[in-house]
Amino acid sequence: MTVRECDVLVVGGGATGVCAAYDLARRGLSVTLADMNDLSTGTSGRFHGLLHSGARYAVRDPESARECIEENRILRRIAPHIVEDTGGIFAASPDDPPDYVPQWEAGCAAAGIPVEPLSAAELLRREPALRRDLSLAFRVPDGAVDGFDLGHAFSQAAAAYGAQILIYHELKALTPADGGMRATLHGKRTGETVTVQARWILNAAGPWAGQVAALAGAELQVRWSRGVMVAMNIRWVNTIINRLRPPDDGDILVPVGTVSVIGTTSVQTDDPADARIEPWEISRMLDEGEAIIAGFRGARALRAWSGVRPLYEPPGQDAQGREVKRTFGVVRHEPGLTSVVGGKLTTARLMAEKAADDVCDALGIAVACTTADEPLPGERTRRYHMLGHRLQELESGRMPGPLICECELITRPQIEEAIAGYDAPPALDDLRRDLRLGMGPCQGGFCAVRAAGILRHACDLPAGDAVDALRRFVDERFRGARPLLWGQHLRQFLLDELIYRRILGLDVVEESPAGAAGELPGWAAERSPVPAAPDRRLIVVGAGLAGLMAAVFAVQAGARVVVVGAGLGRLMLAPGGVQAGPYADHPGVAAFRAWCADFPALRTADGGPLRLPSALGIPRSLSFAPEGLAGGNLDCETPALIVGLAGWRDFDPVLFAGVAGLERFRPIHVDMPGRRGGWDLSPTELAHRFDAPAYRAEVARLVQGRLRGEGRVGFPAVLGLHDPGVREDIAGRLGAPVFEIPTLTPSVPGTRLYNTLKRWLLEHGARVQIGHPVTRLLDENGHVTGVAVASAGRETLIRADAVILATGGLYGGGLLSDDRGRVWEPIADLPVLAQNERAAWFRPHLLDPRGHPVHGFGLAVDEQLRPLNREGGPAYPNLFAAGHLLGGLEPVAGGYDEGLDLASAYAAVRAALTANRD
Amino acid sequence: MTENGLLHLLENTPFTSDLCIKCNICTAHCTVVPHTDLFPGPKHVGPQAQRLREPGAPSVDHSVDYCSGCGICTLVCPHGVRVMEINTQAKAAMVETNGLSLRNWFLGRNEVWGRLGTPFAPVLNFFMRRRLPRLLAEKTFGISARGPMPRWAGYTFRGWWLKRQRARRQTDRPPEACNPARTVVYFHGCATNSYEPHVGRTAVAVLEHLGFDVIVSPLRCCGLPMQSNGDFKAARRYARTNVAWLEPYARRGIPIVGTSASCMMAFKSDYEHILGMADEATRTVAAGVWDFMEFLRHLHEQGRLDTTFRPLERRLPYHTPCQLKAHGIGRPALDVLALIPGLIMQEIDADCCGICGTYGYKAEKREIAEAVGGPIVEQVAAGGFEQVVCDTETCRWQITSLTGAETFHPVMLVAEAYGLHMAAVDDPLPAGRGAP
Ligand SMILES: Cc1cc2nc3c(=O)[nH]c(=O)nc-3n(C[C@H](O)[C@H](O)[C@H](O)COP(=O)(O)OP(=O)(O)OC[C@H]3O[C@@H](n4cnc5c(N)ncnc54)[C@H](O)[C@@H]3O)c2cc1C
Ligand code: SF4
Ligand code: SF4
Repeated sequence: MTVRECDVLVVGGGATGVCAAYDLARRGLSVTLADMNDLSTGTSGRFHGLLHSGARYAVRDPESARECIEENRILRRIAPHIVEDTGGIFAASPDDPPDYVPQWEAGCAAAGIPVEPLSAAELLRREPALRRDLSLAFRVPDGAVDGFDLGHAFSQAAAAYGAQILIYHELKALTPADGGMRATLHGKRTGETVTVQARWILNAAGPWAGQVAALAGAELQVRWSRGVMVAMNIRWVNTIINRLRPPDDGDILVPVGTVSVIGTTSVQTDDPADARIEPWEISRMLDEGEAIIAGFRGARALRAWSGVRPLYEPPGQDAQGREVKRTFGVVRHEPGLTSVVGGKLTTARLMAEKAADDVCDALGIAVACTTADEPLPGERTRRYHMLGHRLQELESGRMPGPLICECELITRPQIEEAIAGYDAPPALDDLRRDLRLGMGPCQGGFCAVRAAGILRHACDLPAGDAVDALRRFVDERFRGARPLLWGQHLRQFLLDELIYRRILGLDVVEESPAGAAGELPGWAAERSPVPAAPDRRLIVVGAGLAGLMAAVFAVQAGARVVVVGAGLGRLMLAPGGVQAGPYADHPGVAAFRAWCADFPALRTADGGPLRLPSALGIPRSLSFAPEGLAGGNLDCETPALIVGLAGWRDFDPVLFAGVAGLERFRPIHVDMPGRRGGWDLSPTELAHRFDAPAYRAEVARLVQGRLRGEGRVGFPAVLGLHDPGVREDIAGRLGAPVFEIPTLTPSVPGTRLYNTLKRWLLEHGARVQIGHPVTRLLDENGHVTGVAVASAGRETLIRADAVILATGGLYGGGLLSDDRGRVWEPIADLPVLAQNERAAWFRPHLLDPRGHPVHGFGLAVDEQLRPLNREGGPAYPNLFAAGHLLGGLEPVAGGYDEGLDLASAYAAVRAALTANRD
Repeated sequence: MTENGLLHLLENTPFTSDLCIKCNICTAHCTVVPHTDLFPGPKHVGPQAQRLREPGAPSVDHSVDYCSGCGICTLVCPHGVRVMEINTQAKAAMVETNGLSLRNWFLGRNEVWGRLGTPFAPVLNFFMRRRLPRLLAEKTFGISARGPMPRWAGYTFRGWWLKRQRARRQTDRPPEACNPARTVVYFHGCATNSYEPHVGRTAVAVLEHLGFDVIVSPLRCCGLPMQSNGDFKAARRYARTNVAWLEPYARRGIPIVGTSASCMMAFKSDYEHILGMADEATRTVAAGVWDFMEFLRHLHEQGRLDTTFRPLERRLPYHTPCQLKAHGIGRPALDVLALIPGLIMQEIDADCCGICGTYGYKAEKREIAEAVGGPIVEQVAAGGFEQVVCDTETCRWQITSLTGAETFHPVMLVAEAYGLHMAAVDDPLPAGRGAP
């Protein structure tokens, strides 16, 4: 048992605690600060991010208003590097109570808050996204502040004055001893008990202040009010926007770093750790956002969180929620404890000052507070608080190394530095908090696996531990995002899921053959070939695997085909190879394989199901795969050399071989020859380089010297994009067969497939028209006659005898969804099989082996693959659907992603070319 | 398109970055990425960097300058992110922060150079085809010595038109005096004006053959060269003048057609989505503008196209300019040329020829521009072709310079199949000014 001695033990490492530790240490006292978790993980890490000007309180709480404006000025002076000077705007619409404005102006004037009127034109120039009716506007000196940055800055300052910081130490007991207090702390991470002998205790435990006081037998009334905030994916505004009306829910939009945060609700709770987010609270925030910005509802919400306000209630008061004054109280409990509670993050320094005054008074020390006088000591690097800061660093070359987190711009050296700051291997979530890793739009989809590799390397972790860390991170990110999955963010997670399952293989719990798929749908029963149809005109909507292969099948039958795609489909992203599952012997799957046989880069290896390694070395089952990938067969006993390119972020051979756990896989790194590439070297770009004979010859030369008689050599799947002979060429030079291992998107095997399909279609006279969505069907007398495309300037009409919809499901954009749980088909408003209860869309874990109900959302079709109308009959005699737009299936977990696309494309073409034309 | 279909904000170029799900499809298809280390790719310089750009604050990035503006990224993105448009706006922010280089100012003004150079055509054509002056221009000015130099025709299309009008004692009618069913406004663009007036004359001949009264818009550059060099101020000036002149015709339902797919794209989309002109007049013009071949296809769909074509027994490759792909109208040239008996067109599989307006004229980018055109070179060589059909003039010059093949606008084939010849066009040119 360790005993530490100090003058004051500060309990709580929120804003108030760190400010108090700094204050007391500056006054010359020896200080220990303890928090049960990391710093700023209580309310200070879960607040709205607003450095108040005080204007919000100008009418109802003049004292808070005055405190805020003073502290606002002080913080900008002593710690300018943690304040983002966004400024604030108070704006009223004609519907807001008109008499509030003069009251508010008077209140601001009385509190000394500078207010500057903004003309409507000036407002529009500054904030073009705002609703036009918010036209009565004023500028105030609000700012944005990040709780983590504040905690970091003040704790460092405190440490510079000798304070000790103990994180993950929870105060368990307080007893008077030796003329002071003896505190028993439990080390959550070490498991050890630490005893601190202090002359005085300062209780800055925020919402938990009542519990801490109770440890000393004292009573302290703290009221709890929970608030939910929603962070939107981008900065919709660049100034803090406040509604100019009596404070209410959801009336502030704060741009913080890369996001903008709408908040908050205010709900009484009886739990200081209440982290609930009720669906109504999210809807409420979106509604309120909509009142500030037209269209807000359809924008992307990135994360939602809630924090608990510790509201101080002096004995005798009985107000509720927003009614409780936002000032604070300092209470002395004999013997040996002072509590500080209430207030705001903005006034944390002042709260600390008053609390420290009380402690000094109790200890008979007469040193005045000086924290407002001088800038904080220590490092003054502006961390992220200029929006473009990281971009500038990256662009100017001051942030070298590959970009790992592409959304928030974090490079490898930064991650390594952050890891080095820990004694024990950190969780990826710790790195998230340190660096914002995985906090951007993709929520870890790309960076998490890269960071896991870096963690493995830096901490010399066993590969399995790195993968566990990755799994935990994936789970945490999903848990946070789950309440927000609709619209575009839902599509993001379907992509992330594809990466985790199909590319990384993280969902494979144990060896299980793909395709526990149940019964085949009715349309799959028909096995006859596609008939010749030389004069038919067919439109295929969608440029994914289903759409493009439908076009191929139709062209093979002699039809005239136009493919119209709003963009490229998922085949660009899939790791290569076919999961056919129960469709394995469908003629569509066989026809695809036969078509591939003409192209060396696509030709599939002979024989049936294969066990191939994922990008992480986890075995995945595939029905068949291109020869290049098939060489990695895990059932093959031949030892393999696994080659990584040093410094390339997307493949770590050591992690790969470690996870595969096979003696016969030996990982090495070779240097990347010649051009090293910038921070953003993608798999396709690397593949382009391999197209150049000199480049691959050099790589082969580097590998050759490292071969120890292995009978095959594995590379990441970047061996050429246009030249189909790259792999054979390298194999020839090495004297051993070469295979490819899938990588993150864009998938090179997927891109090869797309490029080959497009070239083939053009050569065979088909049209491939990418980039503009089909918006509606054209019809006459109940027949579809074509489609309308939203081309530039106006729509363009295309006519045909039949139309196949292969627009994908929720990922592909064939279905859209919103926060209210609606799911719809946007082209023809066809009825969709879906649940409207959004909570039921996903299971609790993203990688659940059973998949998710959303995977089954889609169209119901008849045996001719014609979408059904609301009456249950075919919507049109000559409209067909194929691919992931089909509902009622589970292609993801069922292991038949490609099987479904190929079989349904074939069946839809057969039906479309046979269907009666009139 | 956007979720809910109601988000006007999400259609606003910078805010489309909200839609990016990071899939990297754009990066995989970017035409420039494979050919330089200096360009991190569309996802990065587009939606990703956009989240970190503060409106009004000085621009902090420069790698976006390597984006050629081909727009392939915007087309392949399945999520509606206007990547190329975001990039172009970021380039303008760079110009605002760092100023416009003399070279880029110069390249943006090709309308002026075209006109000023016309009287000196023989001299300029001589010098601009000599190595030394070109090298000099490269060294002092940064204009690539290998950039494909057009030939000054020695007369301008507009000059020819005005003379012809005078000779016929005609003037272009104001919108209210036109019969909308029989009138077409022809916008010829700067390149047709100074370098390829025969394209314009052929277009007029075809339109008149089809029975239309043709009105020629007074030449003003569409603004695209200035826009792509980040000079939005100048580009908007031109754009506003054009809109002001064209809008009354568009409002009366008089089609505005052009033989330069890139100028037409500026009217249809760039004015709004890049220059931010989201007003009614601009939209009216956008909805009333037609690519020339698109217009012919439209006439055909309405049964108004004369299809008495003479057979042309030929097999020719066709390159769809990236700018034309961005129209989202498919391949109208192929649709129309398919009506000509005997003519077999083969679409070249290439995203972009690399020139991208003025990009391929910049010394530091010339090598990239040539590499981007690689697939065209391969396919033209593989097919043994000596001619290539393409709708945009700078693309034609680039393809000629890369492949050695002769290039021309599809309208030339249409005119030929109609049996129209230059001689058939009333041609009051003064003698000695080299008419083709
Ligand atoms: C929804 C919401 C929005 C807000 N918005 C704003 C805003 O925009 N601007 C503003 O200025 N203010 C805002 N506030 C208020 C502000 O966040 C809080 O007043 C401030 O963060 C409180 O800081 P604190 O240090 O007192 O408490 P906390 O940050 O909660 O710190 C208390 C710490 O004590 C630790 N602790 C508790 N018990 C123990 C124990 N037994 N042993 C060891 N450690 C313990 C906890 O782990 C915690 O880290 C908001 C609050 C909420 C809830
Ligand atoms: S811009 Fe589009 S294509 Fe590019 S990464 Fe984002 S979503 Fe994908
Ligand atoms: S416009 Fe062309 S060059 Fe620019 S990023 Fe997009 S694809 Fe690349």
